[in-house]
Amino acid sequence: MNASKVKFGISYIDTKSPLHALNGITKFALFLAWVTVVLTTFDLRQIIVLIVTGLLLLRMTKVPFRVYKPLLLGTASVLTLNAVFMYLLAPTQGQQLIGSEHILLTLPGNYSLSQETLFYLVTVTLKYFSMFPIALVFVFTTHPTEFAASLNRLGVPYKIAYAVSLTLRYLPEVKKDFVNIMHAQQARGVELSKKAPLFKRMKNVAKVLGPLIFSSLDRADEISNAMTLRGFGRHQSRTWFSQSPLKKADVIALSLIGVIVILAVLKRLYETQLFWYPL
Amino acid sequence: MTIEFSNFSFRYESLDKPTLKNIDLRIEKGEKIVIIGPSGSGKSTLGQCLNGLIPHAIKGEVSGKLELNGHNTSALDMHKFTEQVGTVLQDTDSQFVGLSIGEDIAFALENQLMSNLDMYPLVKSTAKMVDLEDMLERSPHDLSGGQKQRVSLAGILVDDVDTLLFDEPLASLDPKTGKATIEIIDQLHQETGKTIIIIEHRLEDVLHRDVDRIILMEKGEIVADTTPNSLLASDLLEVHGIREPLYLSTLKAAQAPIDSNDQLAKFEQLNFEKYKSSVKTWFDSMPARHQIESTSTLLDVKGLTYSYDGEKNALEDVTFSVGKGEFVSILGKNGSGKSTITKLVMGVLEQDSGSIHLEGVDLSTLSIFERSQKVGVVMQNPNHMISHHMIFDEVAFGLRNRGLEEAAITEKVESVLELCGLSKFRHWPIEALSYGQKKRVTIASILVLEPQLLILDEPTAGQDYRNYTSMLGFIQKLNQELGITVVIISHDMHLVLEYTTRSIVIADSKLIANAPMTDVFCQPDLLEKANLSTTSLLELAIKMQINQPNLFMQHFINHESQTTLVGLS
Repeated sequence: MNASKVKFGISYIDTKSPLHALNGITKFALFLAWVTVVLTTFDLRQIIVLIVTGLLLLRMTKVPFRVYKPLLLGTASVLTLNAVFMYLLAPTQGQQLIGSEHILLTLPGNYSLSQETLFYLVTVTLKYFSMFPIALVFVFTTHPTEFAASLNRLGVPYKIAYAVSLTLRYLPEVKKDFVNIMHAQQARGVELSKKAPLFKRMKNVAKVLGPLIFSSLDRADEISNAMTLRGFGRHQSRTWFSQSPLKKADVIALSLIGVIVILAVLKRLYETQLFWYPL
Repeated sequence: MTIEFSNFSFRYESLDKPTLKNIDLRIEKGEKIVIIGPSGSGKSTLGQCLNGLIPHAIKGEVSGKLELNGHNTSALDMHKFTEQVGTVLQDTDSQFVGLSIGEDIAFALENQLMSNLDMYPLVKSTAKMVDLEDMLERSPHDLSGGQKQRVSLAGILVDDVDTLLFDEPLASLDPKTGKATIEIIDQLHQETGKTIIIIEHRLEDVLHRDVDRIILMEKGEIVADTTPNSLLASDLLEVHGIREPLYLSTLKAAQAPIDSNDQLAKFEQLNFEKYKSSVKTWFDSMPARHQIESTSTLLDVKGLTYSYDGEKNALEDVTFSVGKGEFVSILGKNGSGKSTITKLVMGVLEQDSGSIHLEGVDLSTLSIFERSQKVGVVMQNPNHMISHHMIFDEVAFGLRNRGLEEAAITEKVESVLELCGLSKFRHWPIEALSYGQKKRVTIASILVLEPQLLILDEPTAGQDYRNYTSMLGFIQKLNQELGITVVIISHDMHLVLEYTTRSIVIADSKLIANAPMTDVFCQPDLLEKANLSTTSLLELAIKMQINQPNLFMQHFINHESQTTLVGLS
């Protein structure tokens, strides 16, 4: 089987797990709370708890591991690369932050690797990584319009919220158009493969974008007519088919999330040292 | 609800001349009306006046009066229109704005601020009317064209409007699904008594079920407003470039005694005895059939298999060949895999197994561009192919990529434009052309590369009978006079019947038939499998007790091509 055929996508997958049963608002709140908590901390213990919980939640979605395995690996490698660059740019960041220095590996210039810098880089990398599983949980378990409905409920104007949903609806169609146009251009000698030099290739991709933009504009016109004909924009607000009332589980989850966020913020406020370093 | 246009005219803001001129039309509550007319006749504009897009979303100059239920509409808000007239658009993909069936049906209710507790039962019961109640969770990508259309219909019905307006509902449907759609519309008409207005140019398919009146439009005016029977008995359809039902063309060709008192609109109600003798005499006059000489093989496809996702095969072990100078059709419903064949021949996809040879050369040894020098593919949507601003540049593009001298390019492009009847537009911008002309430009841009094989994907999509006859006549000329081999991919039965000699039928990714077109069309079971339907020509042959229906079809086609040739010259 050709490698390019493997389905690679992050999208809603309905596995009817308990997480799917939660309200979109709850999941959106969970996601926002998670990001807040992560941003408040440089405490490796807390970060590890977050990662473990995140991965457990990801498992609870019942989405098969093979679907998100490449995503996890991809993110991990990008973040590792990021850590390497951070080290190259500021090799003594750890010492400066923690205020001590234990050299593990002597290297020329100021590139000697210290225990502090290593610990710092591990913490930062894991900190970024800890946001990823929950983002996947959110995407896998929240139906896009439910998400739009939640946005609207949280105060985003419905026309903007609906635009989010429409984007998700028509993205596959635009992709189909793009592939068709690309094929037509390739058949007339526009080289889009790696054979052509980079600059030429970029110029050639631009040739595909022209027709794509025009056909998308035509489509947008028709969609907007179709929506007008069905009364979109008639009132100041609208209701949502896919919005469900908050259930008991949602209320419990939301309260729990609230408590955790407050605790995390308090911890941050009363912490004497921002960076936790046990050694 | 009664609808009344009096001395109504409309001019689009961007155009100099009015698109609708002095329309006088009254439609009573509960009527079922069909509006037909060639492209540019103003039939869709008339629809847009009815549903309020004109004047609310589309600007222009209105004069005269349009009344809904006796109220002048010039003062009506957009939502007053939508409360009374529900529209099912031609492009069901644009109309499907929700991410699931349930959500899309509920769209109008959401906009009316209905609480979602009231919404659920209503959506469910509406979905039941169109047989979708078990699929509310499905997303648009998992649906067939027919299902999407039923969703659009439910999305309108949920609102309980008085009038249903269908804008070319059959345009993108295969014959079988098209028939089913007409049946659903008819059933709704009978059960709910709503006023039904269908804008369409596939007249025979619409007449699959009874209609009360047909309005024929041409150049912004109503030229006929009459019953189906009297319209069919007249020569108005022919004069205004609308395709008559096939059985009727046959009866007229056989000079059967037709008058306006005959029941002509429904095939089953025809008085077959009355026409029998003239049809038989006509058929017996058929000249002996000359054998088509076999030619050497041009395209040879063996065991072709391809899968998009590695799980389900889009094509499975497909084997066929095309001889030099042939005019072949590949038939099948949407998603059956017929377009995949084109992509594999083009080389934009690579087959999982099997081989494609062109004149003995294995295509897999050639690049996409090298293949395109031998095989020209014209895609369905011309807007996907055109990437230049000027017609000359668009046609010259492939030659320039090939690295030819500019002088040689000019010469070739000019002769191709001449051939395609586009010479006078040579220095025009492409935006100024109609859809059909754009299609011609794309054909010209492929022909200029002098391919041995021309593949056309749905060449008739979006074109009316007049345009498509001239387009296909042109392609036939290329085939007969220049000897270019042509393969057409389509589900348009009329097109296939009249122009191609052999059909390859694909159903559920497998090849199920490869035979002379007249033989394929004599096998209802086979056609059924591919979501196609028999034509009324075959049914007429059966009713007339003609035991060689394939020869009967052939005779009709020969007759037609002679008359079109006369018409063209």
